[in-house]
Amino acid sequence: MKQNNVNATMLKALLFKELRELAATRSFWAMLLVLCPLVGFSFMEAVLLYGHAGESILGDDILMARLSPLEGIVVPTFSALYLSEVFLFPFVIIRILGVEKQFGSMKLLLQICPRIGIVLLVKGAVAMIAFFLSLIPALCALLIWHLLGGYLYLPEVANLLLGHVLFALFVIAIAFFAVSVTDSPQTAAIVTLSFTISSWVLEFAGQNQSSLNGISWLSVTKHLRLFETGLFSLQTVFGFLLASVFFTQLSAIWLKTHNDNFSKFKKSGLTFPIFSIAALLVSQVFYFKDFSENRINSFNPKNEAELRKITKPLKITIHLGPDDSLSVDFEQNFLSKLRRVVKDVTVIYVPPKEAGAGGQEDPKFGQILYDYNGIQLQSHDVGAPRALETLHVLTGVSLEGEVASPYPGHPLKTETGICHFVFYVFLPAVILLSWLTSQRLMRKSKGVVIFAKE
Amino acid sequence: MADAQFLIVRNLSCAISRQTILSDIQLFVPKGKIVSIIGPNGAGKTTLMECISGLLPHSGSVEIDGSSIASDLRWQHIFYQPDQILPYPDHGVYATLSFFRSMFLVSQPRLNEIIERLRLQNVLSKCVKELSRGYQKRLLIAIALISKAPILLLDEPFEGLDIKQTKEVVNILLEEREKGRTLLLSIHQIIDAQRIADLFLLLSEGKVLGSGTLAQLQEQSGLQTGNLEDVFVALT
Repeated sequence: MKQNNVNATMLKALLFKELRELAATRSFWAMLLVLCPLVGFSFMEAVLLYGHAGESILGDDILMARLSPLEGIVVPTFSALYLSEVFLFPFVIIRILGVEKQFGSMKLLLQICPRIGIVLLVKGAVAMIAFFLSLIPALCALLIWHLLGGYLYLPEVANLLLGHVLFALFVIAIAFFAVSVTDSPQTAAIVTLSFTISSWVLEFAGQNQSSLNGISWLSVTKHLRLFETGLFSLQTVFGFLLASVFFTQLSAIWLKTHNDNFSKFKKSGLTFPIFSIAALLVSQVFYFKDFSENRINSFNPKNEAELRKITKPLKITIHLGPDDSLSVDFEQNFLSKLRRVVKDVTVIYVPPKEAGAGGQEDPKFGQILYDYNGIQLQSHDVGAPRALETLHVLTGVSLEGEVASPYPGHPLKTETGICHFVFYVFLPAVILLSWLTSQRLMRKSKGVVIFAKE
Repeated sequence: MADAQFLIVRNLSCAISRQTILSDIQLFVPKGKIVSIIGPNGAGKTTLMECISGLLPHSGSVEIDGSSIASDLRWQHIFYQPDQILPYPDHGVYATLSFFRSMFLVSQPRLNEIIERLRLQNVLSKCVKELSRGYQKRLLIAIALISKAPILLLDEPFEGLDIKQTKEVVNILLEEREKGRTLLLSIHQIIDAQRIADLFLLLSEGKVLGSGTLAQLQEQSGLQTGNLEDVFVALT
């Protein structure tokens, strides 16, 4: 009787089989080819705009300090990668799993490796390899930026990479789920794209205060944006991982053919409460780290340490609409930073009443009411220094005015001449060559030669 | 009688989308025998094999060597080779066979022996999708033979093979029987079935019309003489 274990030889065989499948996947090579000009164009445009911006503010130290390569170069370059993750990468993943269903080999795979979790793990690992290979053009762009004399702050770049890795993991899990519940790769592609694109739409809707704003937190794109600002959120990391595990678990349930649909629904239903509890626990995780060099997401460290001493509930009532420009400024400069330091903060927006027949405006318009430990203070200033001062008076913690960041900014005006060759000729040529070589290697299997010798 | 059997299928029924495909199937197979499942297209032969192998949900039980085996554990005893599948079409033939060799933990000499027996040497460097129908079928049979399972279920093993190739495959399968393997073959060509099988299961519209040796089937059909075709016609 066979053992129920998958040993190292089997794992290796599975992994190599999947790598061969990846090398045979045209959509994978097509994705790499498309990414070269896409990333190249984004990078070159970013370098151009960044250079112009630096030139126009030359001599203005305050504006220069706002010139961050993360915002100006790295994020725009990686935005091309994001497009690939949303529109191209799903096709590669669907092929990796879908080929088994499409050509019937899933029936064999379920017999030779009945632990479907291991099959998904190996396929997921190969999908991640595909993702890491798709990073090559973007990493080349960063290398060129460095060689051109541009500045990169590695912690914020690494943080952004982490965000994209997590996003890719989620897309893999969604694509696996789509393949497991559909009969054809085409339908699976539609299901996966509907997930990734709707995430994009939700994020967009969230920015525009539409009726979908309330559910915009469901957008994984919105969570990816956090990493683009240099912010690390442990809650977001766990959220991505949990969602990925959840959809992979559902895929495992739906890929098993020996269960009928009722049983599959039942098992899927049972996973919901388990993952809901896990999600609840994840929502309690409260750890943020600002990896941005200019600390754009945080108060100064001394103020942060003081603000952490605020342990009682703090309520802030703002007599403005949430989409008012003053509210948006207040949110960006103060509230978002405060929420990441003080755990128990409640913010309530009270949109002002419309002017009546007499034309009288709401007397509370623009008022910000701070309520802490039974004491209330009010202010009309949406600036961070004044808000901190108010908190200092209200809570007694020792807060100082936010001093200007020592961050100098890294302006650079440079030429991108070599980039055209790298992204439009060299990299595509290397990819085409790798494609052709891999196809030849797949035919000329080492084993065939050995067999012929025997 | 059932106690001496190696593979026993009891009261197996299967419905897909509320439509009954198999109804109350009983099957008793001694160790080291070849059973041919015979029936017209749509009789439920493939579904029966998928149910026995544990790939499809069903009611009833499957016992192997005296123990009832749950669907998700049958892979330890049974290997089912479906018909009309194309495993890993973009991979080389040798790479595909090597993959299964590694998964079944089979030795290289055994793989070489199977390659030679099925005359696959000349196509080893080809892609699976480039193979002719006959070679594709031989590749599928090779994969089944690589498996170490004591029970093999082969769906239409002679489909796409010419007369000479069919004869060769019949001999290979008979050798496997001699080694003690139990084989269930789904065959719609009655003449092929008669050539290889020790026992027959006649299936029509998801129901068993008769089962046993040719002599037992003749008795069940009330015919004194006649071949399998006559018996099948008499029972339907």
